[in-house]
Amino acid sequence: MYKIKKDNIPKFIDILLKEYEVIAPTKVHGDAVYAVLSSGDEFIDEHTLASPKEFVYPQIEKLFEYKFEKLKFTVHYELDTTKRVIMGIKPCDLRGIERLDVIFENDPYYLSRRKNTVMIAFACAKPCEHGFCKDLGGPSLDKGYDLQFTDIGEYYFIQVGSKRGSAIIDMTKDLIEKATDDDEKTRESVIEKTIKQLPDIKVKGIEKVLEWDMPVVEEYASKCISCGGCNFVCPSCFCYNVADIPVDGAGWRQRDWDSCLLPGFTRMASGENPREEAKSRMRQRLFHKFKYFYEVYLEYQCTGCGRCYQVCPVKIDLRDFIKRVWEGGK
Amino acid sequence: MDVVYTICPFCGVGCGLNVRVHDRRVVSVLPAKNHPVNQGALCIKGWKSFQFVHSPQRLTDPLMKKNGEFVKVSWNEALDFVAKRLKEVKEKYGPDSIMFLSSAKCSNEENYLLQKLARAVIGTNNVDHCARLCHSSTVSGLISAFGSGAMTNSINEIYETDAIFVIGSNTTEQHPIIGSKIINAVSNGTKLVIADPRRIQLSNFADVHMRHLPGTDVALLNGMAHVIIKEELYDKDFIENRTEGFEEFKKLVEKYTPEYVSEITGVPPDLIIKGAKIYAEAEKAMIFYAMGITQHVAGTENVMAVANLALLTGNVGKPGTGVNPLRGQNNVQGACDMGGLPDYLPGYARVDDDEKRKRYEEVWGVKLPSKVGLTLTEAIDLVKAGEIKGMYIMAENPVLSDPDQCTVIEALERLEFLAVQDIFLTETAEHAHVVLPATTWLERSGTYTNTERRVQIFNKVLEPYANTMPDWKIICEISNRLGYPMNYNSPKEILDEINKVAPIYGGITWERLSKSYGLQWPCWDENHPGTPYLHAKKFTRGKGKFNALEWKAPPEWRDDKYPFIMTTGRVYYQWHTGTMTRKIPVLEREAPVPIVEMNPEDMKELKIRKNELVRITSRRGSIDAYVRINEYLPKRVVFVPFHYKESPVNKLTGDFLDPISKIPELKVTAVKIEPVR
Repeated sequence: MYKIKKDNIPKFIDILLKEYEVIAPTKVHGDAVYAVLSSGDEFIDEHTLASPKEFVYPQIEKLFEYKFEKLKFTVHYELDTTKRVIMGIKPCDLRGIERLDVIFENDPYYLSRRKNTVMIAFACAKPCEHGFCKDLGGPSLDKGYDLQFTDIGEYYFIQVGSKRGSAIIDMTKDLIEKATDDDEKTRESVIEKTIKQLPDIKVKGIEKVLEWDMPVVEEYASKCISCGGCNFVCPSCFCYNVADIPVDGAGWRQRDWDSCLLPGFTRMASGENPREEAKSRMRQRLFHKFKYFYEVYLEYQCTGCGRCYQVCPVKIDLRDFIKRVWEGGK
Repeated sequence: MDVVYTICPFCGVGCGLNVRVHDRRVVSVLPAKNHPVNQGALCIKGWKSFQFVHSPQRLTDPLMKKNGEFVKVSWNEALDFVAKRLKEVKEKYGPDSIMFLSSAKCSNEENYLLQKLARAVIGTNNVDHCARLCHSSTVSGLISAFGSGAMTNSINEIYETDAIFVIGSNTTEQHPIIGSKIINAVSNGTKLVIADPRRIQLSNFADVHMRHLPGTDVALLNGMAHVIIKEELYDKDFIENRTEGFEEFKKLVEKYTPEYVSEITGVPPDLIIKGAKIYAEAEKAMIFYAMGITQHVAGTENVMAVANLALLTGNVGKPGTGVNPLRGQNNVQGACDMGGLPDYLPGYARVDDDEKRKRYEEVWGVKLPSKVGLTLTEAIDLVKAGEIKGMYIMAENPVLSDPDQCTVIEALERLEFLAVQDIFLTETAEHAHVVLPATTWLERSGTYTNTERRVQIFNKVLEPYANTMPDWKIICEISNRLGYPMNYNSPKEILDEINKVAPIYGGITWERLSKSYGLQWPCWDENHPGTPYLHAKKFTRGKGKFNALEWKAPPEWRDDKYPFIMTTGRVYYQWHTGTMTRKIPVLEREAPVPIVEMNPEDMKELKIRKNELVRITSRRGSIDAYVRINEYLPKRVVFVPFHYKESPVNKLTGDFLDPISKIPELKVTAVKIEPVR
């Protein structure tokens, strides 16, 4: 159990920067966004629009380059082995990445990044504006982090979750202090207070009451403008599109984030589309989050971060969805 | 830190983006959360916007055609050649033998420099751009009615209005963030009236959807005015104090009874009455329109007819009201503001106004031509007639975007000199003598003006790709070679000059823009806060003017030989001539092939299946497209998007022009349809 004075955070990051690429929330033209920091004083402890998913699973990535010469194909690929720290990742976002882990368990590109990324989580000392994580894990992590920071006033309380986490404590030991039992109690009360302030939205068991034809799904579908934003900011959405980009007998294969709300996502070569209607696409997204994923992995593919609502141009709100499903889906 | 704030390059909504760069490549885009327009949202084009920047098909070096083939040359050789040829053509045939196309995709600074090159250096007012094809009729129609040709109100006023009337705009597809705000407003109780031949997503939320036949807008709008007058729902005080021409207008619309209008438009009389009443009974009501109104032979009259409704109900000059043309391109408003028009200098001073022209002559240090120049659509015809000999095109693709493609290509081939400045070798660039490789929006900075007159900085994110050069620098290099020095070191220095010459941009300085989310013109001086809505106390022209207009049938109509009316437009996933979006895999996957939307009853009659390939033929040519069902299209009306070079729909459209604005008729073409088997 450790703690660090808030004033020392910039120095803490500056030490990490000697060995790692440090990713953390910072201010860009008035917005809090995750970025690769160049110095510790750029850090802000603020809620961002998107999860930092793109640092383990990029929006777009080259899978391999190919060449066709003298009737022979050659393929070249490289894995990203940059050592990174994501500092300030929220519990919901880290849980989202854990959902990606099971999907990408054999994906070398993902695994290389994931393995090389240290997670310094920031438990939520106050509820965010649109989160509803109470029944989906809550504002603090029990596992999965390398270090977990909690704002307890003048200090951040630090929990160590792994050897990599301890190594970072060693690296920065001049800035770190031992935490007291009182500090730990403060941390617990901070988290309890956050939990109390979170909306009471029950999710567990929802897979059993979801029905195929619920009017709420149709209502959302009629509004959805197929921007893909909910998928892109979601910490646990993982679908991608694959494309070959040819250049004179050579080229590369790339993948980039896709969205199940786009009609072309399931369109076949003939032009036929099993999810032709907006309603069936909307249902796929919602059912995947709250039913299909659960049936396979016994966990929801939603961590209650509320980011999809924030980014949605027509304000489709999963909190509203969940409540209405319990009430019969009208 | 590796994230830079900038502005989306696609439509006129002007959303804020946060762009992240790694190893000289853009790796991600996120919406700007606190941006007043997009407020943390984007459409799919915005999310994927950066991907064309890294396309291997980008132009890397200047190209010159030698023995019929393009060869890479140095910048010096290319620029010297352009300057030499411009000079030769000018000396041989006079300055008015050269046509310049500026660009609604380029910045205000670049448009300003290009028109300056035309006017101050070459000495011609022959400068125009693709606004001719989208909103030139808005400019002429609204200047006639109000005195200013721009969107009167602001986007977020959607949230404070009581009723919205959308005519000729598929808003959720073409201005998605504005469309989404309309949906949100309706969810909170705002009434919605739609007039559109096609069913659109907004129809899901409409209190009334009037599906009028293409080309019958004036009749429909006159019919609504008739109902409003008959039911005494018009604003007598407003008409009395702020308008002129009401009596004549009132007399004219007398005969446009709902029954008479129904015969012309195909809309049931009760829907016309209901729609008119919702609009007129609302305390505050906004009208939004786009290409469905403007791209007609009667484009200017359509716009005037829209303005009549707003004048009639007093829905101008206060928040939550207005006549709101949705501008298509990211900077089509700015390209017009900067004088990328043959009749206006930057800031809308007429070229033939001797008094106003003096201000520009003083700053630019030359005598300027006073003869109104040619429009883009007229220029193409004059190439054929041998009057236009040289053309300089900045970032436009008229081969795909202009009507009557065969004529356009023939004209370009006939030119003695054609220079094209672009990021890809477009269908237009293929016909050039010299092609100048420009940078994308991420590789330079500047300002764009969005549809609500909001001037915003877009920031440089990347260094220029390969041997490319920012558009503004290319123009400076050419001007310097022509003996008129343009020694600007940055877009900021160009904006400084714009602040001086264009009064509506007087207070829109680089310093203010760099610290904010933009300023809305008119903004007269450094302390002026900008103007969210126009015509507050008085119209720009003094009084608002009613224009009494009779509906006239379009020049071409369906008949036995060509039994369908074809209307053209865009789809959500592609952008205009596809130069950018067709290189973005997810967008191209969504809309990979040319399509034609048809009514299922028509398909049944012609024995055509869904997804089948059909041939569409007009009096001017044929193209092939795959059939998609749209059960809400009126019978014998089809819709074809114009993005596809393999099936260019503008091979079919005619060169019928609006006599006032010279906008072509792109919404009504008579065609026939046959299966390809």
